[in-house]
Amino acid sequence: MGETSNINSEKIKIDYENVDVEDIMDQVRKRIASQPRSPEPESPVQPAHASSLAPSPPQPESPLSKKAKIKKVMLKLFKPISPLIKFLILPVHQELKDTIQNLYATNQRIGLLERNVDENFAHVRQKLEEVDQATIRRLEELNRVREYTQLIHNLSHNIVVELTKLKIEQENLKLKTRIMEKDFEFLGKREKTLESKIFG
Amino acid sequence: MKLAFVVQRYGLEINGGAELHCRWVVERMKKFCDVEVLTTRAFDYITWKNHYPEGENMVNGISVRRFPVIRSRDPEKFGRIQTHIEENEHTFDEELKWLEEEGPLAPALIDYIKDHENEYDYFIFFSYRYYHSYWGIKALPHKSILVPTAEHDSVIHLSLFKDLFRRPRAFIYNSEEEKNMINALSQNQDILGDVVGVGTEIPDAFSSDDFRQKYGIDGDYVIYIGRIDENKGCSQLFQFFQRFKQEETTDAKLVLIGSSKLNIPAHPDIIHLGFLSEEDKFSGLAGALMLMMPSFYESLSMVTLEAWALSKPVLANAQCEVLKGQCMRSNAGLYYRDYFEFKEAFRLLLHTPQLRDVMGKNGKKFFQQHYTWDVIENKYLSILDQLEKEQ
Repeated sequence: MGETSNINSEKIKIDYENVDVEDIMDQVRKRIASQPRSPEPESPVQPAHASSLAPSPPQPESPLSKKAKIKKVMLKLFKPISPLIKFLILPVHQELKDTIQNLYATNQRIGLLERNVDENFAHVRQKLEEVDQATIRRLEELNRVREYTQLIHNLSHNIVVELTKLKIEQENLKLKTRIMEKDFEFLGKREKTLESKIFG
Repeated sequence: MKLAFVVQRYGLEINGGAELHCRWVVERMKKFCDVEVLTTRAFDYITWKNHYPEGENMVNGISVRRFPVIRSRDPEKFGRIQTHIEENEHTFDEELKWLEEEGPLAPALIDYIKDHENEYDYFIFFSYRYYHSYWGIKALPHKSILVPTAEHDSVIHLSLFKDLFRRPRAFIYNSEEEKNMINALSQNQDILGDVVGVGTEIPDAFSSDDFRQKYGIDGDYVIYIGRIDENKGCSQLFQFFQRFKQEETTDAKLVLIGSSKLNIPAHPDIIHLGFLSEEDKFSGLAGALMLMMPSFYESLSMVTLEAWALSKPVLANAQCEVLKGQCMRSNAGLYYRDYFEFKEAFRLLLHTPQLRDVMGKNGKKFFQQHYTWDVIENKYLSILDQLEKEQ
């Protein structure tokens, strides 16, 4: 059943019969969150700094040596900035440096994006103007096309009228032809009658 | 049934990525269908220069038709176009221009697909981001199946792919994460699709002792296998490993197998062996405590599956959603987002043999459930069967 893996005196509980990676990773993350991060290998200088910032030890009965006096003066001088020094030697300093570096990179990126946005904005505005001009040109073309259409419509109407007139004319001509045919037929008959009377 | 597998490169010399994935699937599907490979003459994936002879030839008993690449890729020009489309507003035509530069530009391949449509039942396209998939699927969407092998990179957001992902008859995804990403991008949930992935081929004989003897490696080691590249997260791995060695007391070494595209730090415990044979690779993996998988982008890490096939746990980069998802589903690996998580997870795996053992067993079980060739073949056949029923 549930067993524990003891690494660096921190326990990660693992059920070896039913290993759950998500659960292990959750524990790992919790463990990371609970630990003070030490991104750089421990510096041997650290204890020395710590001792220099520690409160001054009780002075011996004997008169202060020259070295002790200098140390006292230095401690007094550095007292106002001692929190900063403490802060700088803590591991969090590296974290802070990393964060500042990340923020700087992010800032640079935002700056770049802003410039891109400005450039893109100008580009978009230019494109919109181009689209606007193209639309005007298209409208003009459309108006011309509409006029052409109107002309073609009138032309078609006139053609229809003319065709109707021609049709009527054709009918009249057909009628005249038929009358002339009848007249011709009548004249033919008359010719035959006259011939028979003259020569018969 | 006759299937055409369409892929950007194909050959025995190509030993990774979607191309190897395709070759393995083709060689397996040969048992069930009449299969043929349609590909280009390219070998180099940077320039796509013509390398293989044109026309039909046989590779491991598979008929392969190769079509010429009419223009090699100019990496500088391609880089400029890619940067432009990634960082600026651009038109659809510019995206098409990018695709043309991306290549491999083999219009004869597309013409062949169009002209010989009736000779094949389905065309299975590998890798969404190349010329052959886009124009091939556009030409014959009703006969297309896409194996996208998509990673979470920037070009997947191009509008031309949003359109492409709505066209094929079916999808064969590599992972749940890939499926979710493509569904979210193109709202193509209505198209038939299944998470299939790929199996792996484990050599018959390999020995970790022989590996140690051959390469002079003593003691515990962890292993990275693959291209040693910035994109694969190797720089970060080196940085984390060196820092870990400074902060922790451990003799574990980091063994690297694969060709390198970056400078490997001169550290006594980082050992680069270069590109090795499959037998040596598996021998190395068998002797390792765990596999390190620092890649940021993977659609399916084949080497991770190989580690699980050999019962080895994995320490993966959580910034790759696919790797994280697979570790969580299999319970066979830990993952990290930053150095602090790396340190804790690595330390836990390094110092807890029982956890490594249980995770290794979980990995093997996960591999056998989802990635053995029987499972993969059945999934392919099931998709083809469903498509036949739809007709």
